[in-house]
Amino acid sequence: MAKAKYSIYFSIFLLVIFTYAVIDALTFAKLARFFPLYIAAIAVFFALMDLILNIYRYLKLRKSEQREQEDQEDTEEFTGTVRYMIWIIGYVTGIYILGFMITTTLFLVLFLLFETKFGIIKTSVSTAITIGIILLFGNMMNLYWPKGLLNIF
Amino acid sequence: MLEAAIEALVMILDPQRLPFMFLGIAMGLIVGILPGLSGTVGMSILLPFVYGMDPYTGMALLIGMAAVLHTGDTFPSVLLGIPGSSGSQATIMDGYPLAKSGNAARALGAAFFSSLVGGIIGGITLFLAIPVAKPLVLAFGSPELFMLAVLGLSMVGVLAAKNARHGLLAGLLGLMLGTIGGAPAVSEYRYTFDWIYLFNGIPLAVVALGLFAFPEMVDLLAQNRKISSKTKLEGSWKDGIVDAIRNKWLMFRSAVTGSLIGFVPGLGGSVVDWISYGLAKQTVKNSDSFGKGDIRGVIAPESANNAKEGGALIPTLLFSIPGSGTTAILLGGLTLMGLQAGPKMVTTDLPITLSIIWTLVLANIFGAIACILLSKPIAKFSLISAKKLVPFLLVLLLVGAYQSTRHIGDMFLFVGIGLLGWIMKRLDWPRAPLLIGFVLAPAAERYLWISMSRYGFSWLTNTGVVIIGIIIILILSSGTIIKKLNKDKKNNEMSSIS
Repeated sequence: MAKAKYSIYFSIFLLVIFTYAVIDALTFAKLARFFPLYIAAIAVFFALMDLILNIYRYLKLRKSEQREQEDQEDTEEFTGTVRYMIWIIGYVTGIYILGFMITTTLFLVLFLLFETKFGIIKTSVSTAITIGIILLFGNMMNLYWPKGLLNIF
Repeated sequence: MLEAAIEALVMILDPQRLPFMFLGIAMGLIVGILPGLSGTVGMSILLPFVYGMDPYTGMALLIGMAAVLHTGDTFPSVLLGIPGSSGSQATIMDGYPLAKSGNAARALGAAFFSSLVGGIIGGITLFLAIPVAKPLVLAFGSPELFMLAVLGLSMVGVLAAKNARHGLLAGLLGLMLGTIGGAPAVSEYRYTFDWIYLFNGIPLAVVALGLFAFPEMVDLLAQNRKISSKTKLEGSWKDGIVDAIRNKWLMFRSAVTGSLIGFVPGLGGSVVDWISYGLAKQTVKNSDSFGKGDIRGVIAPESANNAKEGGALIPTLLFSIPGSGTTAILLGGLTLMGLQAGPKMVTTDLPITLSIIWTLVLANIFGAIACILLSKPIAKFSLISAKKLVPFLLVLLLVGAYQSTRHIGDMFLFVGIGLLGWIMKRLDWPRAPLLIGFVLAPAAERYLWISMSRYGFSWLTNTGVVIIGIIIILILSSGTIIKKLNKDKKNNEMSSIS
């Protein structure tokens, strides 16, 4: 049931994206336009078809008796997923603000201590080795890690 | 020619040169194992060292790296469900389900043996192609290249057989993502939102990692489980080799397909594995288990992606036409060693070309042996719990994504596309078609534009175009025909028993 509902949202999302792509493609020069315009126009048609079929499936499923139990299971798993997505999004946002090296150190220490439940020594050693490898790789590849908005390290 | 080949082998086996080949092999395996790093990265690291080397030694180093890259990249594809490089995207379709069922060592054994055979066939193809390469390469103009891109796109239909509507939409979304950035025909930037990062388009590594790695990491953490559902690893690499030998014809024809597609410049090696996977799925018996952990789904792409390297060297060495970033840097390497790619490579510089072929063959053998020996201990990664593995993996993936363009946008897009991939996974949308669409969008648009502006609609009647068109129809219809034949056979057997 929840999956059917989210499928509708995803179809709407795709429809909006493809419609925007069609509208934007109309502003391109003729030679730049033909490929994205036709591809997006075809995609709009199929996204619309998908949306209609998903709404039909959702309405049909509403009559089903099992929906409450399934919804509860979906919600429980979803909560766990969101928690780890926040970790990952937080990590990337941290890189943008604090820079790569500082955020990576912080991320590893915090994750290993609070999620993996490593002890302090294990966490410190694992983090130090990882940072060492990153520095070595960066040196070999001549990479400049993002310093973030604060521009510290 | 045979004498020259033996002479080149002696040159390669010189104790002063052999260590450089092993160094190249080690680098190739490391780059392959680390997700997101491509052959271009490996070549970039090694290129400064070839300056001043004699051509045999320098080529042993560079080709040694390129030859085994697609052997090493099988590890992350099978064990983590993350494409190790662009050439091992299709391996995850069946390799990862096999790892999840505790058969990681078996999948790796089959993959490495197939890679070995594929690599050798690629080397042989390069050797055989020397006298006939010119007409072969010239036979492919823009219309034929466009049709080959369509052949790749037709794999969307094969991979999304049970959910055609979603597969098609995913493929179209991939095509749209592929149009982001500069247009090929005119100086216009499309869908960039004035963000400079998008002017060159989205890097393939970011899309592949986001689409497959991000959802897998999040789900592993949320379910707090190991990659393998079993507590012990079942099967060994020997079982995998037996599987590969049992499917020798599939291995052979996938390798031939790989080397043939490899020598077509401009199509890119990223699609070889998908085409061979799709072909295998459409033509083998009982293909219903594809995508659920069928060992044949590992054998086909793995033999093709190693064989491709031999094929890709034909236009690079003989016509100075690089088919990928890796071969483009290889051309630079040749120049650094005082050589010039072109017809001279099969006349005055023939010994160098032959030494490249030998390096390709030997590196594949040594690389596969090294990987087979490492497969058992590395397969134990699938038994590590997610919370211990994922934090380090996430850092590694972000580094892999970041080195694509060295812009923080790589990391943002990794998360953005990752979220899209996660939603698609949860809603049971096939993700492979999106990747195929993305990979082929630039080639499809460029060659369609050139074909239309150069020939109008008359290119549609080109012999090559018609032949490839017929091949596409045959591939797409063969699955249905084979299934129907099997069903009829079963029905006949049942009726004769009763």
